[in-house]
Amino acid sequence: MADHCALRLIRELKQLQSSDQLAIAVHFKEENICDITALLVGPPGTPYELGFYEFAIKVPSSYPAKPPMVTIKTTDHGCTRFGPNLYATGKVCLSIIGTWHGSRGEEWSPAQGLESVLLSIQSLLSANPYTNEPGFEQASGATDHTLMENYNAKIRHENLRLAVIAPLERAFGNVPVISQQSYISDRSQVQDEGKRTSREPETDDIPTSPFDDYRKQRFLWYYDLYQNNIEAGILDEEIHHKVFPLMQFEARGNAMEGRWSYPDLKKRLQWLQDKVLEETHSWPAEGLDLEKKDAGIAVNLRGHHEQIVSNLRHYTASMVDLTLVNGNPFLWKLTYFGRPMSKLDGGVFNIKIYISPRHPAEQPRVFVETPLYHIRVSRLGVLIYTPSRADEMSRHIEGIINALEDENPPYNPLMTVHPEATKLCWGSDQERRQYRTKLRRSVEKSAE
Amino acid sequence: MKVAIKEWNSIATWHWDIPEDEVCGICRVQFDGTCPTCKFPGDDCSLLLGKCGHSFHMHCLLTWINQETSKGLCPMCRQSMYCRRLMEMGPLTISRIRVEAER
Repeated sequence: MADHCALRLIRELKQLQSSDQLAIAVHFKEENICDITALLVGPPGTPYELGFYEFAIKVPSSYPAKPPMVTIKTTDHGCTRFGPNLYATGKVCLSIIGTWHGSRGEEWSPAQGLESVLLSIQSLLSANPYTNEPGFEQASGATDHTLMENYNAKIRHENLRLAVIAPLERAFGNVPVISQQSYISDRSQVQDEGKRTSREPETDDIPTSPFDDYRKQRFLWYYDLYQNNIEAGILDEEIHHKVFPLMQFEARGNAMEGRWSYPDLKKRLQWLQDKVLEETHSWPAEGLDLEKKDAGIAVNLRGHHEQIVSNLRHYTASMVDLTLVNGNPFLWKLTYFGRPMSKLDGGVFNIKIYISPRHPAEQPRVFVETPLYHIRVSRLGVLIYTPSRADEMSRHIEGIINALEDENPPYNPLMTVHPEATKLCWGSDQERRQYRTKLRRSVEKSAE
Repeated sequence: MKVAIKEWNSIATWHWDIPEDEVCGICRVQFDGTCPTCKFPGDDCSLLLGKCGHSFHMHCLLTWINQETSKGLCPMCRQSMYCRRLMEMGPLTISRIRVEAER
């Protein structure tokens, strides 16, 4: 690999990994940094909302003179076209990576980079992807509007099915035997713009994705939102069990085909939640075995705990108590006393921190056990927070407290996990008051 | 007290006459560092100053410009690239003088 390629790539990857971009994650192996996998989280408010879209990025040795090659992996093994520019074959049509003819300002130049490519792809996951099809940008007729609705409705369903649920099911070793798509006949000889496409899954055995834990953690965070979207789908009788309509620009073999089946998704979502919780709850037991064997990770975590306890003052001005549950270094209990004069004043909250035996490759999962009406706490009590460093437990404790105390957070739908509270918190004046009242009430209750 | 300088060592630093924190838009290395193909900064790895206001390491820009897809355009603003070689270095600074006092 040429020096100029490697040096610049290392620089970029380092920057991407240390950025606080919540919607972009990259993974690569040290031995070949030109082979990168990236995960984009679908932007809230679009039909791709909170779905996980995986991309393979191959960087040529002539980079950055030549653009990287990008393919989308979230295609249901080559069966689903997730958008006008995200083909079932994996092709991503985008002028800045040279897979689409664009005007002068849109073509590749060495001033572009991984981040700008990923952001451009993220912009394809838009609120109205119908208009991403060349020639349809200005579509505004009455039929167009119905079609846009239809197109969004099917993407919304497949987003949940293929970009949220299916990869997680694979992570838990459950591959549905009969694909919902299987009724579509003869898939073997489908042509796509002259190119023959392989319909075989890339591998038969289940590869563990580098993003499995990333997905599970976010699944817990955003569960309420997924569930709300499924409930809304079930109520929409117009689409119940109907076959997806084809769009004009979709061709057999490069389309989004299938049917709506929200009740099915509901069951699968529930099954996944049980699985993720079961896994989380198995960590302390698994950890206890490691503790008995004096494994390094157990000794380390015990050490971290001791150190953090002796330095608690350092992390927060609030009253905090941190203990190991039954002396288990893999299950921490944080008791947080609301800081005087803050919204949480007078409250007492029990928080459990589940730490994986594979920490920090798998990140801790945090539950606020005392009921708390808060934008950062889901109905199940899952707390969303971001530690400034993923591998230091002290940063996690700091992150947890900051997430709870954040009084006037800027609006960021990716950082909220309670849809109703979120709506109130950034709503009208009256709704804001309502949010504060509900929060206060739960704080008062916590002290009783 | 009388002081006589017995010995002095001077160390000079140089930098391109360009804001220090600016990086080359192609390799993203600071201008005072070299392009990725060179080992020593300075005359052998000089900078090109574009008419459009964008500068690059000469070697970085040449790899791009020599390629057909570049169409001779600046990577940053995509205007036609006319450039001159940056010759001026900032003033030499003498940063340390060791003075020994006479007893």
